[in-house]
Amino acid sequence: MEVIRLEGLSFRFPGRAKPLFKDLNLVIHRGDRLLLHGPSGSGKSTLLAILAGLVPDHVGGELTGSLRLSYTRKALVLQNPEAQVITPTVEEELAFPLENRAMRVDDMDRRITAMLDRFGMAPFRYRNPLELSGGECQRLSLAAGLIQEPELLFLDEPTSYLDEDRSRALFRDLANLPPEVTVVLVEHRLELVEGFCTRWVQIDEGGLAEQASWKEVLARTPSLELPENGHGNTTRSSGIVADRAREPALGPNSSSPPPLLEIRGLSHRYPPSAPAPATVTGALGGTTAETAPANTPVLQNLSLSLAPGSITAIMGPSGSGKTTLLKKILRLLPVERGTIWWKGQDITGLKRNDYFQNLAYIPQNPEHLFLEDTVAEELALSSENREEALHLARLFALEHRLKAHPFKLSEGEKRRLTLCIALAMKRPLIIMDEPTYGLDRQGRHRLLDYLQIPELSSVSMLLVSHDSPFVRALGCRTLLLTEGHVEEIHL
Amino acid sequence: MSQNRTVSPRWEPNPLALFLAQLFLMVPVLFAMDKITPLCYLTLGFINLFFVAGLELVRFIRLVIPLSTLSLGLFFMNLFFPAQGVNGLDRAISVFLRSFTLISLSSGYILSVSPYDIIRALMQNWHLNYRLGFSLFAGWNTIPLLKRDIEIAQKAQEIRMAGRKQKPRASLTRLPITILSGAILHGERLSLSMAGRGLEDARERTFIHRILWTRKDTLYCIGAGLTALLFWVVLILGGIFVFELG
Repeated sequence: MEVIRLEGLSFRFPGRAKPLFKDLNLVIHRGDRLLLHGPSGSGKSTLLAILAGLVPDHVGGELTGSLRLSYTRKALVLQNPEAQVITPTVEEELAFPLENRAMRVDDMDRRITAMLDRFGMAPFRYRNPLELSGGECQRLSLAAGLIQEPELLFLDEPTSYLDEDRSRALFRDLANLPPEVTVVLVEHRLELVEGFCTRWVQIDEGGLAEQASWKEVLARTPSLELPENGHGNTTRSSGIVADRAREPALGPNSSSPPPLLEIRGLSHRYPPSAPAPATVTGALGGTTAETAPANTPVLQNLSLSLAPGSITAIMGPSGSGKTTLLKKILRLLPVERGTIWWKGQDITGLKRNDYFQNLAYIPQNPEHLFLEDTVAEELALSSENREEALHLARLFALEHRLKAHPFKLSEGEKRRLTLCIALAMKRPLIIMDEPTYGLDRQGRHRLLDYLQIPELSSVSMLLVSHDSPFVRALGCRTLLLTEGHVEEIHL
Repeated sequence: MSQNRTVSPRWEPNPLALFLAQLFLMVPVLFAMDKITPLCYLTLGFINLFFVAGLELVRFIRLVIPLSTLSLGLFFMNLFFPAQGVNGLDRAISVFLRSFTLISLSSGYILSVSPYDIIRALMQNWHLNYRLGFSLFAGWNTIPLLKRDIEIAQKAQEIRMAGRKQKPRASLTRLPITILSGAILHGERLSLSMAGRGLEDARERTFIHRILWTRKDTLYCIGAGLTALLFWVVLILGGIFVFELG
């Protein structure tokens, strides 16, 4: 039975001459598990919104052709879980779609309790969703979708905030959906959807192309699992010093050469009134979540060190303290004396400016780094030498975008520009927060290449990421942060 | 049961009933230019806020002290620059008391009630449009997100500009643009999320978190209104109330 039929459908955003889609034809049947894939900016999310019946009323633009939607109950889970939070409690967030259907309060209560148990989120019932970690918030979004018992479930990159284990658990949970539920999803991490999807449709240059098999899908996209250019065997990892957690702290009196950045016995706990990100949650659909008491330390006596020229990735489940650690290093949170050292000097004894002159920080949202009106000006601001700036632009395939506004670049280009800026700043340590966030498969692949260019070989890099395949392919030292402790792992 | 969650053993006024009660107490003060009227209604307002609404004194003081600098400003302005033929000190005290009472009663109300409960009550009791109500919810939720984004963007830019001569124009203009563009995008996504969860189709909706308007709320409002009126009449008849607009 057909649930969606598109015939000769075209769509154009307001004010744009060129249509985003032209003459699309697609039929989706009840029970299909359909993957929409394609490069960033190809219109996957827009097509999802069209299929969910939200275009043009809520997105704007001009829709022509035939669109027949033969379903009544739908659920839409967007990419950014924070952008879906409407109400101040987890309970109300789950109740929201049911309230809109004027469901009786008793029935709502029963459904919410069942859904919270299913997702292991019962202790969070009265918490503010915005106090949850990104992963927890993403699971809440999915729960808010499934609670509607939809005929059609639209998922826009549902794993973008989840670590690998939770991502796989999510797809295991989705596999248990009743067979009559149709799922249309956008997902860049193809390795996760193998075995789940039954149809695969690629969007590119305004058209749709359906693939007959999984093999054909893989043939059309670069793989992170099977690097073609020796990723994972990089010599960068050998430049890393072992974590000497049991050795005496390095300080000004130490005789051995100090590492670039060293953390010794770092702990942090949030005050009881503040949000407590230190939550230990079970896998989706698995064990019950445990909410850590608000005064449980997020970081407990944590130690690590970074050698010059090394790449270190910090991974960990949602709420494990990755953000807190980063905030400490960036001095966004108070730093206790003798816990963080820069080249053997306690950073609490350094002037902020002197310490920051050694760092290049690339936030999760690249736009937070941009200051100028064009790519060329951004590069000129970071590099005093114009030739060098141009060389960097060429190196990162941005020379054709020099006159473009940084905000108008694609996600991949923005990420490359931030790397360009970081390199131009000539700082010994580059800190990257979720560098693959918002990047499609090709973008992640290119980033992998760029991170290993010779120009970056003398620079240390500290990455915070939950993208296991990317970190594995990078072949760098990987530290797992769990329950406030850090341990080295091999992916 | 969820619908009884808001009904505690101790009766608490509906946020809108409390709003009306505070409003009734503030109206006579708006027109008073004497010293006794504001003091009377300030006392009544404090009784209402601290004993009926359960306002915490420390929170109240923390907010009112900085806000009352405005009243002090008015006091000194009237003291040092009085109009011709007016007793400066007398008028300064009256103006101070009037503005201080209005500030105290309004900020006390804001602290007594959760903003979410005010919006819930507006939707459930006064039929505020659901879309507008939940947009207010979402807007309130966005404030901490904006704060976090500002913090991160400032830090990223501080680190980027460390050791360099600051470009004031760029740093001053870029940050609001970055934050605003993020806020607009956030708003678009929220709108899509609300529509995707059926808010547009909701003619009549239920609420798991109910804010009830009970008979006690009606009696409380009438009581507060009558008390305010009675005091006003007594003050007028006693020749204490001095009318002045503005």
